[in-house]
Amino acid sequence: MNEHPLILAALALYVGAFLYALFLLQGRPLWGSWGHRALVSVGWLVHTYALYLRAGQIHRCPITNPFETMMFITWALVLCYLVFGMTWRVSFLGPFALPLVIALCMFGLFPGLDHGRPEELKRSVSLSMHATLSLLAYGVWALAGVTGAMYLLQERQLKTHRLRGLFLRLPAIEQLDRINFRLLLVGFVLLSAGMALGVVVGLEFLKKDVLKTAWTLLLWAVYGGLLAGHMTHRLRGRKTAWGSIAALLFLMATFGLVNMVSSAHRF
Amino acid sequence: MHIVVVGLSHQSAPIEVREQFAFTPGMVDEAMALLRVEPGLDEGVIVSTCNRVEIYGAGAGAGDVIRAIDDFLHRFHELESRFEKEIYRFEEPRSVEHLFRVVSGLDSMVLGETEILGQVKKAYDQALSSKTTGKALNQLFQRAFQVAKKIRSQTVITRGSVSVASVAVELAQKIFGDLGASQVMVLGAGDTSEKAARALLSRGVRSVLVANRTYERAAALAAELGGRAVQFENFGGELAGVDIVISSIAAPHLILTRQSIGALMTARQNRPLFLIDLGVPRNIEPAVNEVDNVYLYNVDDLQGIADNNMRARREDVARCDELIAANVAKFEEWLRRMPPDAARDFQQNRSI
Repeated sequence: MNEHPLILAALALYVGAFLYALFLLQGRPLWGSWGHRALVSVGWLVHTYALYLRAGQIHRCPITNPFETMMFITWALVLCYLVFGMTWRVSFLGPFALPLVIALCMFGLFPGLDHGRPEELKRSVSLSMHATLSLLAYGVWALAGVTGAMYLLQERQLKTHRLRGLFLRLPAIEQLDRINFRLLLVGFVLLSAGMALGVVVGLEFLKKDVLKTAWTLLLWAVYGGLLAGHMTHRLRGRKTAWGSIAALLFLMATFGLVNMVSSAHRF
Repeated sequence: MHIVVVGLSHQSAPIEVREQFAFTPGMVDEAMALLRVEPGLDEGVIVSTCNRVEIYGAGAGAGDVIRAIDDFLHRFHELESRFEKEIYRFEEPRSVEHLFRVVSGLDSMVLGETEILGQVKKAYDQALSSKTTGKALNQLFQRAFQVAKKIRSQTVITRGSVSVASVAVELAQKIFGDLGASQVMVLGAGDTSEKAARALLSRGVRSVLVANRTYERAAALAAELGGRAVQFENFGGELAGVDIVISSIAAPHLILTRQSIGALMTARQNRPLFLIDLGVPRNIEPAVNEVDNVYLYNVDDLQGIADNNMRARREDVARCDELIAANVAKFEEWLRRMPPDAARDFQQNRSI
């Protein structure tokens, strides 16, 4: 497949950006560094081009096998990192988000994952939108998990009174809590839209693919519960942070397994 | 061309001497005008702050420039007695090194403070608009600002707060971010509480409430801080709307317990609460820190953080010195290569 070298190049740029971020730990704020931003942005553009080539080859959104799906989720994660990092001025997201991006990319590049796709897959805009929105939601939630980890690290320093070098570099915990909530909300809206399109595309799949449908509904309920807890002030700060990390771990641990045994979502 | 500095600082002279040499803002323009025509002095910049009065000068002979500045300082302030011991007179490369150390906060009373950089920049801008600088001092000050920037980004010399009040502010900012929506309550009218409250106000907190056993003292402090006094018996009723509590009540018992704060957090909808206990004996039960979204610091915690930050700064002084030495050498190299007629050009410009 021609896209693999491009994905490797993007991966190399992400690794470079991560190492550069670690180097910058000693210096100025990360978003003050054009070098770091440029490395991530160029990596993302190369990543985008690889997905574009693959889409042209298969004439549909490139989410038809585990390799493509993993590349799409990491692409969404980096996009969220760039957009939200700049919009909400969250410095220091790189050293936390990029290791997850790198690990997922490397997992997707495992031999054998870029296999053929099920022939019965329909070419439909709604179907592509359904899958795209759902995977975008996972990317956003991955970033929420990263923000949750940042929150816990900062909160631990504040609670134990042991303020290390990271203390000054990490944002305020209230800011991290707000960002975590917003990311959970954006992911929830995306998945809800994806699910609604899924119902429109093929109601018959819901009956045939009970496991995937139940899993998606469970995920939707878990994230919905986190949001409701935050909005009613029962879950706030540390609890929301732990919730977003636990939900992400659940998502990562079960996503592949559910898809393997799924009848209509085999990618 | 030679660059010198003549001056006195908190390290060389007590305040009684420094104040005799100080240039108040109203005096600087007049002083600059006189400095321009001082014989033997081609260029000059006056730096006058609470902790130092220094004149940086450039001219053909280092000894002549030092004498000119020395005389100017005494003559301008109409001082008959000479302060030989208190005034330092440095020639290159020490004069250059001295400026680099000053702007980097290495020569400040509080190691690594950054206010001095702004003060020196202002002094330089004044000299620039008074046309008392030329190629040598322009280059020197530009390089000094670059060195300060480099030291700020490459070392920890300016990082972390080093006083109890500023540590409290830093912590509040790491909990709430923007303090514009935060409300502070001061319990007891102690000196450190007042300093911490003032520091928080300077960072833009929304409002301050003051409660004290003597209501009149609370009212007086509230008036000074631009806040509102509350009866001490009623402070508990106001806590639900407060984000930061600074407590320094002289009381033999705890005034805030884990139980009371636990109940309060429900009323606060679990919004974070920052408690600063400056009382001895302590006013707030230490177990309060175990409550979710509550952050409790006592005076030892704050002092410990300030001391750690100061230790980290001191440990980095050697790295700053290395950076400064390298930059002094570069500047000296530039100065050696400066055409000898540069100063004359400047003098011609000055006379136009």
